[in-house]
Amino acid sequence: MTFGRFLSDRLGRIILWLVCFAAAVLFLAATGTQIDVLIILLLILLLVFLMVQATDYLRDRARLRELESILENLDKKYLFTECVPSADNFYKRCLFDLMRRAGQAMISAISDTHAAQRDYREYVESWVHEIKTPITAARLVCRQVEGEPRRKLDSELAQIEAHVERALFYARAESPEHDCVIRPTSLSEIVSQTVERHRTLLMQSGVRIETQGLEQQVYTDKKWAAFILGQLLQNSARYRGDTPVITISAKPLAKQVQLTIQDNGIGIPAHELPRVFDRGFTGSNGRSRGGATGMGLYLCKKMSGFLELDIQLTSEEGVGTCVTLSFPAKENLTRM
Amino acid sequence: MLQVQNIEKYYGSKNNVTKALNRVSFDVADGEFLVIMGASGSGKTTLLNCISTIDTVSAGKILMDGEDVAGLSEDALAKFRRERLGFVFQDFNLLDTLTVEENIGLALSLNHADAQTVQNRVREVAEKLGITEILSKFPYQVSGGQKQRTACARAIVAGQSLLLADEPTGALDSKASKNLLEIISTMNRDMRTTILMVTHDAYSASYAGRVLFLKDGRVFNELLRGDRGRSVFYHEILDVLAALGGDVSDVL
Amino acid sequence: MTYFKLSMRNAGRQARDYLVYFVTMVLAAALIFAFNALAVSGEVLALTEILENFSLIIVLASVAVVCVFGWLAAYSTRFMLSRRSRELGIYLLSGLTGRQVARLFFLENLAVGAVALVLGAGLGGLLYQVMRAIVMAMFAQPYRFALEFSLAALGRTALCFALIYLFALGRSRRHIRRMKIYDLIYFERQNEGAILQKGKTRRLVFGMSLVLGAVGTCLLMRKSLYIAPAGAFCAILALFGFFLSFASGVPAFFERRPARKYRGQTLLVFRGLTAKLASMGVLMAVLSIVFTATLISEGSSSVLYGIMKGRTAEATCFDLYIGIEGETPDPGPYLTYIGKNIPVEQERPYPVYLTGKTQVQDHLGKMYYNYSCDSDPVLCWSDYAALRAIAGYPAVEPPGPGQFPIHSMTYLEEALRDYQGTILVGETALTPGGIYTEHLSQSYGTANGRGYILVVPDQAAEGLPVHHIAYAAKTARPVTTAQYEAVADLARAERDRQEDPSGYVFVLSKAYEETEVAAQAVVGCFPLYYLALALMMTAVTILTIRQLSETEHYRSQFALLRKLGMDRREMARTLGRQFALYYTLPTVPAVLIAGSFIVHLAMMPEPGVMVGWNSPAVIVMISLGAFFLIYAIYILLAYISLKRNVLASAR
Repeated sequence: MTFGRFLSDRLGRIILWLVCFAAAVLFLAATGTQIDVLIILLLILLLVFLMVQATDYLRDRARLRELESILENLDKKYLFTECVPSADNFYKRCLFDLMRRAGQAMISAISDTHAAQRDYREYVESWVHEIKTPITAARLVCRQVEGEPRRKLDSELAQIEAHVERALFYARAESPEHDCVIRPTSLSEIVSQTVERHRTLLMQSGVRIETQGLEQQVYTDKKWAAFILGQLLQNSARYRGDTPVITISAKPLAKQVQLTIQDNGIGIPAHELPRVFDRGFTGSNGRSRGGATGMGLYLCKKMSGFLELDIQLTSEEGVGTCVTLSFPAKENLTRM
Repeated sequence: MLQVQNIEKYYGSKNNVTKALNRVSFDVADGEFLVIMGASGSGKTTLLNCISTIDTVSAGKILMDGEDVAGLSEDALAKFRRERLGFVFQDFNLLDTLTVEENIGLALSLNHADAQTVQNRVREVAEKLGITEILSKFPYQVSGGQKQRTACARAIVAGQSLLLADEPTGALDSKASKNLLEIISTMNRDMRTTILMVTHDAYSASYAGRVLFLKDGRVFNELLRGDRGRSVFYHEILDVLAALGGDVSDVL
Repeated sequence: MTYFKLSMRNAGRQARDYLVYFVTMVLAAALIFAFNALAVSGEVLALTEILENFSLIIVLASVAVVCVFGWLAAYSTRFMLSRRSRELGIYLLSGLTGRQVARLFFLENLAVGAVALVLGAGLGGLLYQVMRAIVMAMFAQPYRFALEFSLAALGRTALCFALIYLFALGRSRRHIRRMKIYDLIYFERQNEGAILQKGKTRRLVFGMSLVLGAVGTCLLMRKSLYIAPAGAFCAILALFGFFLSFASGVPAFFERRPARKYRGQTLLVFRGLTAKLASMGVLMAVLSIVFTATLISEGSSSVLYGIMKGRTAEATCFDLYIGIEGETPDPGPYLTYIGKNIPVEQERPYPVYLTGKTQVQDHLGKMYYNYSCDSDPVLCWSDYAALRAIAGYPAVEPPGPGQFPIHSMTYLEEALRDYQGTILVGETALTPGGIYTEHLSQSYGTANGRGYILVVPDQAAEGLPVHHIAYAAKTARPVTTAQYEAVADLARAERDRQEDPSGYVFVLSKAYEETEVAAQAVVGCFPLYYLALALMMTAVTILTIRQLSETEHYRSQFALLRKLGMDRREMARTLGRQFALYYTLPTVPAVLIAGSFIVHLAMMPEPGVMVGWNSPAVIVMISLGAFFLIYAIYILLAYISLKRNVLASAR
């Protein structure tokens, strides 16, 4: 708050006072008081007036700065009114009281929402736990069947498991901080784990995996990274071409390691590229190949955000799709 | 009588915010003796301050006899406090410029009672608590135990229905503590005063009828005494504390 | 962290924590500067010779003021030390020696004092301009605004300040050097230690002091100059006894009246006051005496001014008046001189007669001791009418046949109104008809009668013996001092020329009288006001420092009360009452003692001087009013600041 702004706020009042002073002085002059005496009077009045305005200004400015810095430093800015020191006059106290009550309502609402979310997540987690049992049971039953039905059942069960996993991660996606552990990990480990996990799907799709230069150390959460990679592999498998090959390579840069997943599938039309990461976007490919929920890439983007990975997707229709993930190679993560 | 619903309390200063209470909910029935246990920093004093309306909650509701205290004006709250709440703190309980008798009578004179009523009631309550001899002394002339008994007297002299005690035995030796707790129990039993006590000491907690455990601003356990004896209950409390990994306070 | 940096930081903190003390020192500097600037101002000294002594008197007054402020500084410094003993202990623990700590403290106070001096000098400059304007107006001189800054005054102020601070710091330096770490860390708040130990003795003393106080007040009220000091002595003794025994006496009073105790906020207020007074009984008594001194100083000043103004009011109705007594009074030489040198608008030489009888005088004599002329003085009507015109009063109706109006001073009006008797003037019998009381120079024998004069028709006055020849004139411009001196010299020459100088020639000039009064006022009253202000500021500051240093204690007390459910309004009221009592208590004896002193002083001059605006009652009112006005400002500021800090904020 500059002095100019401060004055313009009080302009009316100040002008009124100055006019009163002037009128008083003129009156006294007209009724015979010596001019020199009036000079003293005016001097004193103006001095006092100026001092009062100056102290008001300094005090208001200091307080405003204090409040601004409090807001700056707050993470959850809706807790503002809980953190401010109490005001010194009645009017300001009443104002702050109103704000506080409004804030109270907001905090209540947020808190209730969080609680509901937590309940839902806990439900989903327990549901996932429960559903694993019948799936495993079904798998066992599957073993007893031979031939074509078995292969088909296996692949369907694999899809069910993929959906369940996605549901679990989606439920956790809202507040991953509970689950996220950043450690130095080897990229080759992540890749081999993911590939192993989706072995059935890959084999059935006839996809060949080629890896290159994966002996890199990165700082990330192994589980989440594996999930992202898994989604990408699933996509490549689903939208494959005739002789599907997925090339996974890593390239170290200054503070990062770039992991590239290149496939030679059907690619994504150019006009759909900007929207692939949107939640629930299936696009023309999804419609043609079927079985898409539109959530895979959305979750990948979200997870990448939390892990501070940079995810880039390029594609050419009929040629293939290339996804690049940039992992931090040194510990320079700022927020987690 | 008292319903606490999902209250949260944030404390903030220029550089950081602390969440003192995290969705605490519980009910207190008429005539119950409830103890809230927790280490320092678990939020129990904050909880007491919020219930006694000295402090406001950031979210949630506190209902006294069905009425939301957040909606009351400052004057109504003051009235509520002097008519219905009694306080016993660990320190700085009494005004050191007043005699013991005047300290007890203060609660009544705040309610604009006339001098005769004040004197009678003070004498009555002093007899019940066994402090009649020190009525004309000043707080600095009496022992810690007697000071706390005076505070208890003050907390019930005006017929207050809810007694809030914040670590009342904190500054007392074991004998005085025992005395005080006996008196509080008696008040609860004979005079049907509802008591809400906050402490980190398992021995004090064992006098209660129900114990709530507070950790990091959250209620994580609750114990009911039922018909069991005090020492059995005491051991159960110790068990709960041990299960916490012993990082909740120092016992006794 | 050098000493300097640490001292500066402490200085800033001291100024903030003890703002009242700092502001008072600034005002003190302003006061000392303004008065000294006035004393060395060439312009002021040139006004009249009488002011030559002014500089000396201000120096004397400054000495007294330095002592007063020195006491304030010493007390405050010692008080601050005792409050900060823990901090000093930590310095010693950290390895500083006693000397270094003393030096730290010294630097800090030096810094605060220097800043106070600079600010005060600036403010003093402004104050000086105001006072200069007032003085010029008193001497009817034009005031020219000039932004001048007197270095001499600055030098004097700096010297005063140096003395004040050196005195204060000298004492504390010794104190600090001797302090041991243990004492500092575990220092208990300083209190005087009750002088009267036993509760019973205290109660007895309390009762006795009340009785003694009542006796003293009665004695003071009596209009005798000999009994009054005895009364004052009783009152002072009662004062000390009262404050020293307050802590026991009042609770004893309330013990027997519990009904009173529990009403409203009485309990908290009286207990709080008792606790306070237990540790500052002697201080309160001393402060009470300081207030008494303040009021006496201020009141004497007002009375002095009142006397001067009152006396000259009578005498200054004519621009020039000459009264010539003697066997053959001859206005000739004077008229010649005046004709040549003094331009005159209206003038009239006239005789003042005597009736030879003392009829009216006897009537008055029953009520007033009046050393008047030998018999009733008389003026003839035409002279009287002319005098009225010269003095500028509205003309009045000539008296009816056989009637004589009386012109008297206001204080005789009542008595003369009753006079009904017929008097014999020469051959004529006349009855009283009307009284006029404007000022007509009636306070001297060689003026228009002493106290009263009878106005008779011209014929009745013929043949009466003449008391003296008078001359009154209204001049075109005010009579200058030179002209006045010339006429007075003439009068002296005339008297010396006479063989038997029985006659007394009397010269009065309005301009000269007013100048004299102004000069005497400046010399007499200003220093007294200077002293009074210094005393008052000191006492109030000490009271306020003690009050405000209890903020923490008040805060915890009111926090507890809030928890127990006290209304915010009631809390404000309790605080307000405690405040009011604390500040009023020392002023009550002061008002009683000083009030009666002023009244006595005001009744000393001859009757007729202290009338109207100068009457004793009005003077007392004005003195008390001025005192309480300044007092109220300090109290209000202290109250607002304390209230803000102490009362918990609303939800």
